[in-house]
Amino acid sequence: MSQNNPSLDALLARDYEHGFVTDIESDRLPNGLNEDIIRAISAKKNEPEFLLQWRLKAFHHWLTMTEPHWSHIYYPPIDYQAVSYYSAPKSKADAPKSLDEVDPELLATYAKLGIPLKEQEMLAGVAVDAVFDSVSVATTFKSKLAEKGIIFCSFSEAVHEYPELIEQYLGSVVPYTDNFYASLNSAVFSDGSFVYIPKGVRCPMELSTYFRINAASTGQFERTLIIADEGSYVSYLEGCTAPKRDENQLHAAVVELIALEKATIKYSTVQNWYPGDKDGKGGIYNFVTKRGDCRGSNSKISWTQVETGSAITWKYPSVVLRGDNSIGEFYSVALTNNRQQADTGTKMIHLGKNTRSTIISKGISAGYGQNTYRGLVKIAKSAVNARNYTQCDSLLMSDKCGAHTFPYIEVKNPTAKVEHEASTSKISEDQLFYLLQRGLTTEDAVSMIVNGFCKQVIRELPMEFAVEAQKLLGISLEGAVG
Amino acid sequence: MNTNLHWQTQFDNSIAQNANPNWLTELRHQAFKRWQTSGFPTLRNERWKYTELMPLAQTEFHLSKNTSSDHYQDLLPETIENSLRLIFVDGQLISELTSDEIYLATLVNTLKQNPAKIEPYITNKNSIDSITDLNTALATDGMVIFIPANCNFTRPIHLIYLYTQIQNNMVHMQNIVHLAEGATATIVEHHIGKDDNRYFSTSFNSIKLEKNANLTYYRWQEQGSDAYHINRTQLMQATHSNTAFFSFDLKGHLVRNEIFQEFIGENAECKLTGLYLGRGKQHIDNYITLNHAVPFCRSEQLFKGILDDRSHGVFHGKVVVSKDAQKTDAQQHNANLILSDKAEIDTQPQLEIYADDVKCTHGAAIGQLDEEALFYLESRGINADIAKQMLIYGFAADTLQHVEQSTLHAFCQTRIRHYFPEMPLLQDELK
Amino acid sequence: MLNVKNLHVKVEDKNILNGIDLQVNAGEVHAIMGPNGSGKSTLSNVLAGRDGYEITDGKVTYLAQDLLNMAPDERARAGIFLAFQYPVEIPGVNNMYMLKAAVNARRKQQGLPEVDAMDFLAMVKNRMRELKMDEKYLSRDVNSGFSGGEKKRNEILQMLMLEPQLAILDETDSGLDIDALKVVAEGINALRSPERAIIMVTHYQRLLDYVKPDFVHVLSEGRIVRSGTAELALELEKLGYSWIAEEAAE
Repeated sequence: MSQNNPSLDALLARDYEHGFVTDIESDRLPNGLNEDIIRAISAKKNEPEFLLQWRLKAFHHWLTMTEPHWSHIYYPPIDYQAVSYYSAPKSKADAPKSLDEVDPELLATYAKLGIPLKEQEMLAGVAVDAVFDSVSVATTFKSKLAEKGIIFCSFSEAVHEYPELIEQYLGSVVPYTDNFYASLNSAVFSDGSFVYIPKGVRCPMELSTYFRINAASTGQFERTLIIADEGSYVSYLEGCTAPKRDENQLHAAVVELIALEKATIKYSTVQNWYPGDKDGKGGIYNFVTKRGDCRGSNSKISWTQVETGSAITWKYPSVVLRGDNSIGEFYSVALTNNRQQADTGTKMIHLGKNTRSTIISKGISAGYGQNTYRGLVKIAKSAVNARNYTQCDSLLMSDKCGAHTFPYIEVKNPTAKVEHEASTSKISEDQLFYLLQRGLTTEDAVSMIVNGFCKQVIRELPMEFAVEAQKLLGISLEGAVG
Repeated sequence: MNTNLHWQTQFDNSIAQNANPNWLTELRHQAFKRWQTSGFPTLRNERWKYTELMPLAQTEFHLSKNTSSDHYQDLLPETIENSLRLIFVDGQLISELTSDEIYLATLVNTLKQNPAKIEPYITNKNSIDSITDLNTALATDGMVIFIPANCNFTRPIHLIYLYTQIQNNMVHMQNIVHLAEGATATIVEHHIGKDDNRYFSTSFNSIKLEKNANLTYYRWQEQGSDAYHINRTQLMQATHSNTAFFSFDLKGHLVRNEIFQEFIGENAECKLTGLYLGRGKQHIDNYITLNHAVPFCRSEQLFKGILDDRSHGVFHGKVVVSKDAQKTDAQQHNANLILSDKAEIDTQPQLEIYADDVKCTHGAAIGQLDEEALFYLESRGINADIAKQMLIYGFAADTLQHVEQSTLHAFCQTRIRHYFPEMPLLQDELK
Repeated sequence: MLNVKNLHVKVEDKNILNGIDLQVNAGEVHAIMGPNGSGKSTLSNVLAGRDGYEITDGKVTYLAQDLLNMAPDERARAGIFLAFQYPVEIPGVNNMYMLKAAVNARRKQQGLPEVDAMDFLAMVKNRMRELKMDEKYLSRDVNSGFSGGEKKRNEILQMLMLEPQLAILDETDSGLDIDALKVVAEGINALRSPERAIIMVTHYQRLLDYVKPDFVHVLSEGRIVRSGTAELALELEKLGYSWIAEEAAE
């Protein structure tokens, strides 16, 4: 019935570009998870006692939990004892003080990924914190940011330099009891990024982290904590890649955002972890807990994500709208091709008065991909005059794929206005023919239509990320930006 | 008394009082055994996420005994013009009716005279959870309706189930409806109960439409103020068949209405329209699943809810489009009005799609009365309270726009109007 | 330039075109007229390469190439332009961006360098002035939120920018008021040149008052039943189409 266009298939069958392995000696712990491993991780990082105790509490709680299976994804059971919970490039022992001290091969890896740190330092004005396997390798631009009182460093460094901030905020948005993967992360996380924007400061540049899983059969468990103090603003970018490997790799990150009064946090992700090959062999299992807390009144947290990678994506970047007049946003493009599965969406928890949230989700399913939007909009009794608008659109590009929409809307306040709209359809033959008649190739025509479909989301990304996102979607930049 | 033992006694009595065919007795035993192990579903069951059955599990309900038939007269609804009216009181038909054109008999009589006719409907019940088992184990009566091929049966069949029982009784019913090829029928299933008695009822319907059949079905639920009621309808549609299904939940204490519809033949169409009206501490849960298992079918769902006082509404509407169900056209919309700060709504409009050449949309909206419309009415001199009532009634009556038969339209309107007593008569109702 | 021989086309088992013969040379303007359902739009769509038409017999050559073997986008890059009767809306895709991509695809084919954004913008703005189009259409999505008349003007704008060898205008005059019709006609006339050919498919004669055709063909039940000069169109205007059926019946 629906026959596929051969050049469309060729376009979709494009290879994973970031699938190279970097040959670096790494310092890793034996596979498996027990209290000793956790103590070892903590000791290696020379952590204060409170953090070790927190990790242990998380671990003991995790032991009581079972892996969740409510999502619309299927995978063989994961053996959590066959994973190494810590892997660092060896040279980290005497940590680099500046980019010059970083292993050149590592830097070459980033260059291949399209993030030449040095160049960026000079040209792009993007401060990058690069997480390679589990430890933070280099943070650029630190000195310039420090002038404004902005802290942007690896999580480990923050633990030593700013333990009081860590102790105050760690787990305050995503407690260690939150869910199976968040508890696991809380027990074993090895590094990540830390950001603090002081009162009234507008961060002058985009802050950026690149995550990359390199070592075989390691899990990556990074943790990001961003605190925007009163009246501050920050835009944070996160990119992810991993080499091609036959076995599945586990990624269970936690991101916590805290926006105090009148603060704004914009968090953008382009996720391009290795998705596995066309038969579904290998690929990253991406189980991520991301949550923002609009703790102060008039605060705003905005999530934008373009998810094209991973064999499995399980993530629901959420916003707790606690402060009055606070705003939560979620813009998402999720593309599943071949055997990829994504179950992603958001939770907007309205607690404060006059809180507003917007959800725009665009799912693209191709090949045998299964794409699920799952979202919760909750209007609590206290949330007078809350507003939510949700729009979920799915585009189907093969007759073997699936697109599913599972919204949950819970309203306990009569002044709420909640609107949800969703549509699912295949790529329009009429649109395709129109563009072909104007002389565009099928590939360009499809790109153009897909890009148009995603425009509402792409335009939320900062410029340099929008370019990468569109490249990832196999589409060229099209007036969506600027 | 031990709960399991209590249910066992109820079950044993029911088995003893009903001379069922062996296969049915066996089936009931199996179902009861499963029921005994699982009990009532809990909130941990995703299908029951928003509906708490704990109070049911904690009450010892007794199967109702024969009723003195005096207490039901004031519960009876208006007569639908030209209808065939069948009245059950506490699970028992009080007057037999027959027809030359169609097969119309109770489950009890059908089991005595022609059990093979209905065996597949009883054995193929979709056992989704323990509630099905409970009904299979304890439902002993109901109506069986077979409309023969090409019969255009124009008289509405009004099945009235009245509940007059004393405290802590229960009634379990099972209805079977079959429309043969090219048959047409209108059926009204109507549950009405006495207020202030706690009772528990389940009513299961198996409905099948063969090729080119046309069914218009009305489900009215006006149970008593303390009633627990679970309604489950399994609806199968063959090629070119057509269903218009209306569902009205206006009363009851805790009500769950489930519809499992499935297209098994191409080019069929199903229109579902629902209205739920929550007041007091009512809990009304609609759980709707539409299965597009084959290509070229159309479905349309519109459910509207009005929630006042401390009521709690739940809507779960899922459309599943199977791998080969190309050219599916499915639309779904759920709209809710919340009128009180203690009322609550949980809605889940879901799409699960495995085919690519489809057109599916869904939407949900939660909001309040349109201030502008309210102001408009007030500026025309209408008292604010009445203006509000008019708008709320208008929101509800919107569900009647697809009711095509005029006699039924009038009946529906009258029935819904009982719930809006302050509303002035509309011009077109004065004639 | 275009040579259609004995073209037979079926749509869903129904014969729509029953042996069309048509010769179009460079520099010529042909009008194809006929009642609703005579197969006019089918002919336009088949020439542009739309899916869903089964060619059961016949041959079409375009600039010495076998047209029916070419993909729709190849035909477009080879200089065939179809102005659609109902231009589709493409949400999210910017009108100018699409047009620039199309112009560059055609230029690439011709071995010309791509136009840069500034030059392109200047060209487009010029053309838009000629067509009396508001510049706000620059920033709109393709045909999104355009009125019927605006869509037709947009088609003509694209045609002028792409400078096709063979332009096929499918009912471009329908739904236009008289002022818009004049503007569109000017646009078409601007394209006339000895190297180009134009096929206008239309139900009414009124476009032909402004764009004078060299030849007029009358299509009925999938065949060209009469061919002639511009006079033929005037005759049709007076007598309507009913005489064709009578004539065909004889």
